[in-house]
Amino acid sequence: MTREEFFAKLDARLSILNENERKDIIEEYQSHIEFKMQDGKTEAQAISDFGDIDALADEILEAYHIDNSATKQKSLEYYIKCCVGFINDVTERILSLSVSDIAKIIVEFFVVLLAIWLLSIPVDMVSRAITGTIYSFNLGSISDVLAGVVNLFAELINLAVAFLIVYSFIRTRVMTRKPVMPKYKQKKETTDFISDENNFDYSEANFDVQTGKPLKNKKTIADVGRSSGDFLVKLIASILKIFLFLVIWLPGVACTIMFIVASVLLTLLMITQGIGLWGICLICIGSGIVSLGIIAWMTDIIFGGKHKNEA
Amino acid sequence: MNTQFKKGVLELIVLLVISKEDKYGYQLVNEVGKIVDVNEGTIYPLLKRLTNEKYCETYLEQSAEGPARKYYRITTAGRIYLEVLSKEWLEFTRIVNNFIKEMQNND
Repeated sequence: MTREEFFAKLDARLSILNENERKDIIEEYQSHIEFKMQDGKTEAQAISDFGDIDALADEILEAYHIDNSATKQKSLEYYIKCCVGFINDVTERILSLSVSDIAKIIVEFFVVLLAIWLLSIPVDMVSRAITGTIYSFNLGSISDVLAGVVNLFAELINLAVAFLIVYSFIRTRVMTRKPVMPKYKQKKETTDFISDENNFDYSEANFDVQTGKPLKNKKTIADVGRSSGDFLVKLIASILKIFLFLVIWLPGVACTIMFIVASVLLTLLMITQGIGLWGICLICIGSGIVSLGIIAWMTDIIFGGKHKNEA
Repeated sequence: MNTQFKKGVLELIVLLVISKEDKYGYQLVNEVGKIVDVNEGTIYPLLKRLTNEKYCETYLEQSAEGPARKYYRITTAGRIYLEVLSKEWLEFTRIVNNFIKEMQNND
């Protein structure tokens, strides 16, 4: 068998693998044969040393198969890859939404805002009633402080409710919508499907093994790029993403910062009122934890809601 | 030797060989071939897999004679993995050896 024949056959047998992998392996075999010939062997001998070509191809494919399932190392790199994979996943989902889906989501989002506003009414009423009662006792400056605390709690409850609603909205509306399957994939044969799978880093395949998450979304990022040249969809999706970011995340962070400032001011106020060091410490620690928690929570909702959900 | 035995230990041997010194593919195949008799072709996919899993990395070096050589260098992750593999291997063989002796003594 000549070298050309050998590589043509091997290439055909490995067609299930992605092109880069195949190229790398064939290059290695090429140089292996050249080194052997330098050592004084003939081309035919060097090739026959590889043994039966079908058995060789099987061995190569087996090596990849092991790769897909056997490794479960949890290095830092592994986690970073998982994160990148997850971000891709979320982006894919948002990118794969159709125009009507996005329109629906925007409408629903305004409904959600309305719901948040409606739900804040009873809380405000209750807090006003409580502050009213506090003032009716005529306790002087202490009632100011108590009323402030009650208002703060009311605001916190409102904030929590708002986040809860937005969170569940994102979870149910954005994350569970299945990506639109590109038509191209349905036409293709199984071999291409597998080679597509191999286009992706093995760590991502591991990621799926680990979480038990189906592979279905893994291929779509490539497919979306190839099949839906629909720039309008992408444009709208990007606008929606920016919109979500501006509407939820930025105001959320701003509110939290305002909340921190407010608690600092409240602390200062309390110092002037003569409240002990212990109380001040408590307030500072409490507000710090709450604000950090809120920021983390919001970041999680926007950038990692689904992940948490599946974990 | 049983081919399944060989396959299982090949990864360990390849990592051991490159842990001492960076090697290019052909050199590595020859060194591994001295220890276990395997088809030369099977080491390359194994190397590819180890590279994909970041246990080793590759770099090209021009040589005066012949084609550019693709060297394999073990990474820190590879060293850790190698340590785990060797420990597992030693422990496993110890248990199996003991069991063999035990069974032979019982006869």
